Amino acid sequence: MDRKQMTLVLSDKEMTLLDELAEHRGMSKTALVRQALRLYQSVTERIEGGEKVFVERPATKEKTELMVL
Amino acid sequence: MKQVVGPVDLLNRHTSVFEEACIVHGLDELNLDDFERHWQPMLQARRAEFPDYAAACAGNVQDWHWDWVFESYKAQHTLGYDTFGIECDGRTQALMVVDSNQFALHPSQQRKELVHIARLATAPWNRTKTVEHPKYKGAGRALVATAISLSIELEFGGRVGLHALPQSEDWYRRCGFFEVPDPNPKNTLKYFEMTADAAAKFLQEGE
Repeated sequence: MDRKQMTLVLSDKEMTLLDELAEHRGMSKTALVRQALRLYQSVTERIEGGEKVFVERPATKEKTELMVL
Repeated sequence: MKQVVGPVDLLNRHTSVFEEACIVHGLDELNLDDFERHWQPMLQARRAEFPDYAAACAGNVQDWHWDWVFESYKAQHTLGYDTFGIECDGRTQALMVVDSNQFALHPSQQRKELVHIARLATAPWNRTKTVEHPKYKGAGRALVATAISLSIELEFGGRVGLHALPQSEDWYRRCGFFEVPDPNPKNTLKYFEMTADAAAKFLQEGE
């Protein structure tokens, strides 16, 4: 796989979140950012294609539509 | 753009000699031309021998309608959607498309990222039940190993999942996949997953 390098500037809060998510998912920060990019594209394409993306509370079956602006 | 991943040996069953093949990431005109000019006519001809989709299982051609040209186009425009192929003797011997935007269902790795093998097919001339004397053996196993390697590279630990066509279910079980109940009632195919441990064992056995 070909690779390009970039410098990512994050706030303390963003970096803390990135550290926590990477730890939680058992991935490096780079792998997590790459995965987030894939998922963001996937969700965006579905919404732009006319689909709706929901999150559901299993207990109440309450659904909330995920909006991507 | 097509890139070479690495070499792999396939057994030529006609000569009983191993031949060096090449695993590629991304498909090009050669692969798609092979599919349209060589795979499709054979698959469609064999499929026509059976009355319906279910019966086509006996001819190992339930994938006759898969459109690899579309899969290649989609992969070029979608992150996490990747095509792979195996070339040997100047021809495309197997094809695979994977989706890295999926999550595991197996209790030991539930909700963790995995590489989902969306489609995997060997060339019709390599299939038992499709032709009388299939040519190359080992392409399917090499592509499963490729999916595991991608999963490791993405830091998913080797976790891989797939929905298996009925005629392939036993083969995937022998590879080390576990059948996992699929909560989506719309999926009529059985769902299988390989855990990180099973993936490591699979790769070790292939060495």
